[in-house]
Amino acid sequence: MNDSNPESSESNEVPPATQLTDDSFDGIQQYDHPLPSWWIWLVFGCLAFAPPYIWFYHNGTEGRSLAEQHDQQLAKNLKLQFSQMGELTADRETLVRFLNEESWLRVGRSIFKTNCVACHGRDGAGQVGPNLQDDHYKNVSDIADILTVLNNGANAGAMPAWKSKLSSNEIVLVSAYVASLRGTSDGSGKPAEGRKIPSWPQPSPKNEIGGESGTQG
Amino acid sequence: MMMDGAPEESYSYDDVIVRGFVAATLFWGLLAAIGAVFVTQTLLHPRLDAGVDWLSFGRMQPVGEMLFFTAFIGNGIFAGIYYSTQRLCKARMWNGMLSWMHLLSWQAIIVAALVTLPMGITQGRVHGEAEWPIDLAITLVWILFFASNFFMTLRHRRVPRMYVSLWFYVAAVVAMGLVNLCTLFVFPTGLWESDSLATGMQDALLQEWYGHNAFLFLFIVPVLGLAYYFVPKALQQPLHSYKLTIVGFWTLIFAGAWAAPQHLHYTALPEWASTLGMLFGALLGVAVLGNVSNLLSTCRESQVQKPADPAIRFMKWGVVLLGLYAFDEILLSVKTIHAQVDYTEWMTAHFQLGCLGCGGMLVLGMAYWMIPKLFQTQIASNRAVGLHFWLAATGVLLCVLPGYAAGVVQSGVWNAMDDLGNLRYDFAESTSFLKMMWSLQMLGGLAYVMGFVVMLANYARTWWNHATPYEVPLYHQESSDKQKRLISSLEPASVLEAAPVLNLAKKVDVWTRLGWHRRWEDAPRKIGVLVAMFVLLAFTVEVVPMFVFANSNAPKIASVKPFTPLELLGRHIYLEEGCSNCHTQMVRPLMAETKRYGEFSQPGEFIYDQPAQWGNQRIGPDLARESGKQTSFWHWQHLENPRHSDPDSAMPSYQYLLDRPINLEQANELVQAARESGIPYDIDLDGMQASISKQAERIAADIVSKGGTFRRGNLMTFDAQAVALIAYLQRLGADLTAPAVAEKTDDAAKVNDQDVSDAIDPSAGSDRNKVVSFIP
Repeated sequence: MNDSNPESSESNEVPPATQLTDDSFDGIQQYDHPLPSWWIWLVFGCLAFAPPYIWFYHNGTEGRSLAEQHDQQLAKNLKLQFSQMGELTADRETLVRFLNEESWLRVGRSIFKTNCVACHGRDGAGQVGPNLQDDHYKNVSDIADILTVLNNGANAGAMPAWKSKLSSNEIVLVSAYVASLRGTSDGSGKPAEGRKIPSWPQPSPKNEIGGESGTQG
Repeated sequence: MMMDGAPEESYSYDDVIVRGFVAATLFWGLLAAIGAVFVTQTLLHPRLDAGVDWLSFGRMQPVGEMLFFTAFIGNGIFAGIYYSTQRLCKARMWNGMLSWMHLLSWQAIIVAALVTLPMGITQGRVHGEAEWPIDLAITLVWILFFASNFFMTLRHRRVPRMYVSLWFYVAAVVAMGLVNLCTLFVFPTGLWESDSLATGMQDALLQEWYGHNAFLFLFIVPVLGLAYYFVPKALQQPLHSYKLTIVGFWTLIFAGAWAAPQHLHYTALPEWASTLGMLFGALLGVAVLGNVSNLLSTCRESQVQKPADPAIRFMKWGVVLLGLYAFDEILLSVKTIHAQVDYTEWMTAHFQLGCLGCGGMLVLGMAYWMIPKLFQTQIASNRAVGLHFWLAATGVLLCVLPGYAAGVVQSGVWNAMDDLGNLRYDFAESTSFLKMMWSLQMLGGLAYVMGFVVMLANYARTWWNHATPYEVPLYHQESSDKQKRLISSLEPASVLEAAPVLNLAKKVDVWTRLGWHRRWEDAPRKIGVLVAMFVLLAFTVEVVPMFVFANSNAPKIASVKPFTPLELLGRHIYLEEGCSNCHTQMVRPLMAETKRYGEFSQPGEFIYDQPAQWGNQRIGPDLARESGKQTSFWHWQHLENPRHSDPDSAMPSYQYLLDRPINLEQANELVQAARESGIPYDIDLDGMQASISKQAERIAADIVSKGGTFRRGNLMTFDAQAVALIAYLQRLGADLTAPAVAEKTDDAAKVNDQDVSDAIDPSAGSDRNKVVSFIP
């Protein structure tokens, strides 16, 4: 408690004078210790790093800007996704085939999550849009009708047309995922709408997709 | 130095004004802490119905920020500056009247902002929300009442050399005077309305340039100055290194103003500016670290092992947290790291670490140290100070740590991809986790509030025992005119004097010993001019080219057209409600982001955005590509009750937008303002009405056809403000993918059917297919 009254404009504590500078400001004195070396290194590091960095990224070489780096990544990503697929024909058979392809259904799910959950709810339990988990459908009587609805929209635009927003491969995959949702209902989703339709056709065993699940790019 | 026969003069210090600022600091501090808890509360319990429109996060968040930054820290800094400047200059404040005008007008500014911001009177500019009369008042008060008084005091100082604190104050006063001008790049369209002069990318940069530099020169720089005075003073310990103060100060000033673009990494800001921001940002962080290390070494050298004055503990931790803050700043300056945590809670935590942590702790410590001296008595309870320290420390910890954790989780959820290169989570999954973090932060806020309550009680009890009347000690010194000429400029001899080296080497050696700097310390004007030059240089290199070479920095996109009058109205609502506090409008060139939202944003897309609404938080999803993602009916229901589409949504209900009619008068004003700023609206009042009702009816028809109501109460659906907002949302991002209408030779801005239908047609072209062509 010795500093309970440090009205210290007259502070007259005298530390070792050897390193002290000659002035005192309102009682504050200053040592003149050298700069910490780690700090000098940091400052010079920052300064030395700058010119090569600027030169590397801004000398006009192609492929180094953020936008171009993104495009390279995008190309790689799509290659990964579609490498073993080619352009899919959007028909009944393809859909049925992909209905049992677990890894490609995941691609479909990801497209679904990005574009469809807002209306159809998480996992297609229905929200503004109808429940996709039950056996009742409003605009679908056959599995291929899903493709039609996705391509052209339905219900006077409440379901938008996705033809121009998704690539044809994406439409096939997301349709397959939607078809796979059937029968996953736990009863908590939106009440059924539309009529009940017969179950999806079974895939013929000889239909295999060219490669395996395409994890290698 | 006392000369015989020199005329003596006596002086005293004005402590009344310091008492005033300290009282204001504590009052606003308590209010700010309560405000922070309240703001967090609005996230946890979003407004469920339309009862009170100001009671939403979007409107309260700027208020909370203003209270902490301008009111609490601001007043605290002024208290410290008024206290220490007088003592370091051995001179009373030059003009007591100006001091008082400063104190009173600053509080008036705070009250004005506190009243207007919740009413939705806002410029919608990040960090500079308050409308132009308030901005103008801040600029004028700063220059007329504060800077003038401060510099005249310096001029009449009785100590020839200035201590390092004063350099920092000079830098803050000069630079802030300049930086404030950034907020005045607007033209008033009414008493409480204005339109920004800059648009889009340029405006976004201006906003961040102001935000960054205001934080630097109204906060970091003066706080360091205060610490340089109060830490050695309270410890009664000489400062660690005089050299480091010089190098640290100038490195900070050199790098500081340049670092602003680091807040816009990976956005549509041209990359060269972002690079400058990164390189200088890192240097700025290092410079702050240097000053922090100087202060911490001073603490370490102190002979007193366990300081008896608990105020010191506050200051010490304030300095430690400033070091952490600077370290975080270095991390955030790196483009790739910034891209990972930008728009997440990490950024909020960073801000809180600055405001509650280093700023708050230092200001509180300083206040605790000054209070007994100001009241000329002992502090009522030292134990209460200790208690406050623990409450404040807990508060900071509980606010900051969950924030950083939440930021990491958010970033992880947004960017997670599976092995097939698909997004793993949808956006809503990132927000559900946040609620837990916000609860923790609310606890932290409550601890901080309790700390303030303890402090105010302690303050009141100390005040009760104050000396009556206050003793005003008189000091004596010989006349300042004589004193001033005693410039202590000794050039040290080089150690290399006898060594056989070039003269140049000897000169360099002498130079690096920084003896020359003493001459600078005698000259506040030199320091001030140099600081101003650094700030202006940074502005000239970073900001000016964006305007001068607008076409190469933000290439025009043929398909981007001005907003229709209805969309302008919707945009105005977007600003008023502070939507940008939760929603960004910026798709960055990151894989996960373009997969989620669509093509990344281009600078040319924003040329009609006045002001830019890029945003800096993503509590809700990005809206830059919102057009056509949802039906208008979905938006209608979502505005009425966001919990309808996502039960976990933190968005407040905007039911009252469904119940308020569109104001044609206002639409006319907005169009007029846009026209004045050079956007050619070739449309008269009748045409505007026709355009508005046409577009509104189209949207209303869409809503009704999907099952929406035809009217609510007496208000027809097409007349509701919500329709204007929906029109705006359905326009966002539509232009980029719309086909450029080449054959349309008439004025680009002419609002006709084509534009309207483009804007609301959800199937307006897309380039998803184009993207596939990247496959080799």
